[in-house]
Amino acid sequence: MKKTFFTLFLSISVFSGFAFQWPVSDPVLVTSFGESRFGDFSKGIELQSGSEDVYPIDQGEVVFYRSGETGGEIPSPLGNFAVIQHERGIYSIYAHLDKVYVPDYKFTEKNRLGTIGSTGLSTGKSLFLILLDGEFEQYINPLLSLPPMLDLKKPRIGPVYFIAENKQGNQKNEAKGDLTLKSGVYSIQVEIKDFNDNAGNYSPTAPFSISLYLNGENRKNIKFESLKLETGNMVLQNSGESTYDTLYSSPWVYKIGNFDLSPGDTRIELAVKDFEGNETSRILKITVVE
Amino acid sequence: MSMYKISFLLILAYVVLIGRPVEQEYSLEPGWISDLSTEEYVTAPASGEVPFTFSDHFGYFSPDNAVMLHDKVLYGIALDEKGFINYSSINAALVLQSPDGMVYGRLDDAGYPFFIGSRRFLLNSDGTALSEMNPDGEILWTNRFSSMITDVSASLTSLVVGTLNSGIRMLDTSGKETFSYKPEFSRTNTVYGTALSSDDSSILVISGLDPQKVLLFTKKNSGYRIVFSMDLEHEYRFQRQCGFSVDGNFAYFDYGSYLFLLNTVRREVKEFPVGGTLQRVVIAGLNDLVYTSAETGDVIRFSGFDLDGDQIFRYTSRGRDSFLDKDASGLYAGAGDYLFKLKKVKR
Repeated sequence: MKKTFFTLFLSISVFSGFAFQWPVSDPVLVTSFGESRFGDFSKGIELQSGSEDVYPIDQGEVVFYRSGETGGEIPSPLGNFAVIQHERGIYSIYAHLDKVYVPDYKFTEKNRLGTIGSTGLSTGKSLFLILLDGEFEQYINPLLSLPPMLDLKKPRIGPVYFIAENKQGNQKNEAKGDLTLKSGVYSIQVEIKDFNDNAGNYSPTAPFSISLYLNGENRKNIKFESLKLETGNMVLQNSGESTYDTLYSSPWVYKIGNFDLSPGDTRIELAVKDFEGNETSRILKITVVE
Repeated sequence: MSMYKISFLLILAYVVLIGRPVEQEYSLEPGWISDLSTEEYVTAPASGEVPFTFSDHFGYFSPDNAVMLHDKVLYGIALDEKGFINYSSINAALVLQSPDGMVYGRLDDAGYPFFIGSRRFLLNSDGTALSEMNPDGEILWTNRFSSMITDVSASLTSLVVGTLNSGIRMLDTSGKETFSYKPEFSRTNTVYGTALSSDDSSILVISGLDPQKVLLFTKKNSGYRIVFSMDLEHEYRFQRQCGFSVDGNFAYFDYGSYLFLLNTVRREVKEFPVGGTLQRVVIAGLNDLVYTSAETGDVIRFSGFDLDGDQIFRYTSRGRDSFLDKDASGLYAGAGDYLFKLKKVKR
């Protein structure tokens, strides 16, 4: 556990120290890291742009690519793509490209790599950017190493649900104001959507972090920083071993965790931040009875 | 020993060690031809159909020139003798259909399907997880990988998965890992191609950069060991086409406008000039020819070579994608809008 934490810390630190460039001009974030995408964690970010051209985020070397010319024996849900290897075993992957330009394998930030497209399993014309730390074999949130994106909009906290499992099945209680519940173990689930200034209100994304406080005590933190394969499952690191199935109830509803609520007054605070630090919180007062 | 006996032994040694009946006594002549752009084909349930796909065509035909089903590929196609999934780039569900076009199953998981032999797989939306499904489309198992899957090869009993950063992993029919190998001879672990012999006795891997190597593994006890290694002078950075002959005596891989054929017993490599970018290969093994199709510009070149690399026949057709298959009576090929048979005729 300590080793895993140290590895994650080291890896995040390395990435935070980098200053990569945006692969497209005037990027608009339409899918964030860790968001629910096709029934799984999004291992990268999806960007739209008014321009067509895609450039590497840093200098490096194309080690693998696929285009209409190269073909391939297995299908490619990522469509046409290119993989650039950078220093220290870091890979950047540019997917759903229309054209892939690989006249030479060595690339600087100024060499055009391709054009934005919608090839493969893509919902629209966009670039899907994935950052893989090959040394630690984990996916890193690319926003950690890209320039800041202007965004003043706060995440929105939607309905909060308290779901109790009993003999009759799951009993779902929505906290619309003060709520009275019987004591017991509840799965707290909350709908959260973040909106980016550039993307407007039509394309929500996942937040960057979610924290839950129970009677003032920090009981759960979820951070969309990195994903790593552990015992056959992709796990959101530093977030209480969250897998896709344990975190997502539906694409925008997050299962924060299971909490034992004892009789008495209970104060629950949810604090949600987006990547630019915009924060929203909500306090719920629960009366728990026998 | 008399000269008679010596001659007899020499002839016997030649027949046993070197000699083999090659098909040079045969030539290929045009058989039937179907124009898929104009002819309409009715769906006719039948057995013994041969699946085909090339360009944006797919369907089934019988060797006596009855195209059972022909349709256009939406975005991608996975098909085998028992059915197909014709899918769009983005789907609410993947629909399984039998060779007569009847819908018999559906799969709600996101991803793209592909079939190898009689086995059916699904690659997830970002290419990092592989699932196997049964003929009805039910997921049997899912295996996740720490980096992108770059190639997959399968036999009836095993599966080899190549990855961007984690080498190869061999899985059994339940998705459990039985062998793995991470190439560490070069500055990248990327696997560009994998092939698995039908009896699981050999694995071919193309991997690495500076050098890029072709590695042949053979089964030994419970694992595999490298028995052949070759540095490639020209490196390619996309998925490479490779495979084994049906009898396992040969492994092949594409190399620019050449097919390289590795004799897995003698560990010798021969080059076959296929005349373009290799598309399809049909190799039964010993006592047969090597059939290839290759594309250059909008011309498809179909070729047949003997195992020494000598070209026995060549046939060109217009098109950018091709189909190639064979049975005892001849060769079936497709290019452009035409599906045709080249009959094997004794000279």
